[in-house]
Amino acid sequence: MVNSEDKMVRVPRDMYDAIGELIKKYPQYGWKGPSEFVRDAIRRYVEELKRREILLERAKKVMPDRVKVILSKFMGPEEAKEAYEKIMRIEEKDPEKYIAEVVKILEDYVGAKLADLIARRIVEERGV
Amino acid sequence: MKVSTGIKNLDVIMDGGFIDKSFNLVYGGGGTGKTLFTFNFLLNGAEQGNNVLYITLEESWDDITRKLPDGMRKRLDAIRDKFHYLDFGSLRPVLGREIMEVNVLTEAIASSIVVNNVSLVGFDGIAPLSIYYEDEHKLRSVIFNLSQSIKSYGATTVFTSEEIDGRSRYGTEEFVADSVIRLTYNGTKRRLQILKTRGTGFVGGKHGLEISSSGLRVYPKLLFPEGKAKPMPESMGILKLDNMLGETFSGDITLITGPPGTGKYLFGLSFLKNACKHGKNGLYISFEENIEKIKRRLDDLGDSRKLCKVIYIDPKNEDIYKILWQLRALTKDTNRLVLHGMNMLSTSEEYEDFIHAFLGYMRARGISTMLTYSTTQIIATNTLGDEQIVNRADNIIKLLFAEIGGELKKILVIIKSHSPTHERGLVEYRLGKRGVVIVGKIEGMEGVMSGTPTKQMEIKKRVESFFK
Repeated sequence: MVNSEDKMVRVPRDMYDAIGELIKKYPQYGWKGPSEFVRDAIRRYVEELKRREILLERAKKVMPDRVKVILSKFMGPEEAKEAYEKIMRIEEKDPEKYIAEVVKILEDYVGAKLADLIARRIVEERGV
Repeated sequence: MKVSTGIKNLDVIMDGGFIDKSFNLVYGGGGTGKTLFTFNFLLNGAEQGNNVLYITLEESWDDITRKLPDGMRKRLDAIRDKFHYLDFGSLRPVLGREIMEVNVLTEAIASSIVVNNVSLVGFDGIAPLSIYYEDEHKLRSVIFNLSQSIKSYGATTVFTSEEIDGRSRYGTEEFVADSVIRLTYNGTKRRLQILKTRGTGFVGGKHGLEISSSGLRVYPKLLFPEGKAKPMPESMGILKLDNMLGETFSGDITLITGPPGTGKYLFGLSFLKNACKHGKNGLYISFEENIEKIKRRLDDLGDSRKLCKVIYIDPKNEDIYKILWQLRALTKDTNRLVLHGMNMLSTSEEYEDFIHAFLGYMRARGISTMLTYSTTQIIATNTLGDEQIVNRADNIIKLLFAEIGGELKKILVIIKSHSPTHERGLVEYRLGKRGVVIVGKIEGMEGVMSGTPTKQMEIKKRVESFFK
């Protein structure tokens, strides 16, 4: 049913064809056509982003303490305390950017890869 | 340029220690002291003013430091600000196996090296790498990359690996390493063996290793020369014995061999007493427990104990190479030395190396040394006891019992001496309050050594009657 408030969104032909194939492949999801598939996909994606926002927000709250505990065991309480204090001084409100700043601080202590791994794992822990 | 291994004597036998900025492997079975070796290396480095980094992939830092011997823990506390660590094992439960990915490891290690200005690294145990790298070929290249990466940051590294079938766990560690040290422990003695040092010399063979509360010590299987003393004529301290020997010199090695009861220790005491009489220092080391008797006899001989010391060393519970180095330290100011009961030491499989190192060293330093060796047969013994000493001794005096005229007499015979004109005959001697007394030559007897002494005339008569 077309609503007058509805807006049109363009998708490339290839993607449109791919949607058609997915509808055929997974009839159990009950998509009646490409429009319903796209609406469902957008709904899910928005939910995912909201969930991530919540996760990041939760992670942001525990980040300084978790980092302190992990670094304390990994390289000693002195370094952990130092990193903790630096993280506590971050003023960024946006969780995504905040975590990026935490990673940047950690890089100096443990290198980029491990810093990223630690931050990622703290975020994932909040989703459990 | 060389970097100390943290063990003084190991530096000496490694031509100064590890090469600066090198990657050095220490491997061995469980309980051989790999972790303590690594710790000792870093503690020593930190005590010299370096910043050091300890890396563990498996056992936690807390466990390792808790298990450290008291002395080493105190050393750690004293230099704690210079001692950094990375406990990757503690991250495994949180971060999973990804923590063992080589780039994660190298970046973290590099960061710590740079930030803390680290010059010495101890990488303790690489076995957990196989959790991430199951393929052996891949693992080998990872170990290689790891070594190259740490080297590129200018640190000198000791890394440890387990021993499997006489080789390091992955077999590739030896090729990557600039030097390779193998540690062994059989439950009673520890050994350290240098298998490779790139570009420098080293002293091969298995050396003694001791782990004490305060750290590790190495007792090399040899003693390093300390000058060359000029041999001077000397007296054995027993009246008439000098004439019988012909000539004796400082730095001589004299073996007194014979069964129990022949008074070997009194020959040793007379030998020392003579030195003390001339204001020289004497040292009597017994490998037999009862040294009170020896001390009493030393007093009886009229010696003030100021110049002559009597010491007991337990040959069964001390490492033979530790004894070797103890003797070196004890004889620092000694002119004459007696080692009593060499037979107690000779059961060690490393005895030959010990004798070679010890006698060469004493001779070079000009310390006159008398060794006593107890043989087991009472009568008719044809053994001199110990071929290791026999082959190296300058003088060999054999003591024996002989039943002559219904009496058990004490006889000595000079088997070997510097002088080609030394006494060849059998000489009777007695033991008295004043030590060894030479009675005189046994005349007109044959077969004394074989235990069936007979008067020469009787034999002559028997031969003559046979031909009649």
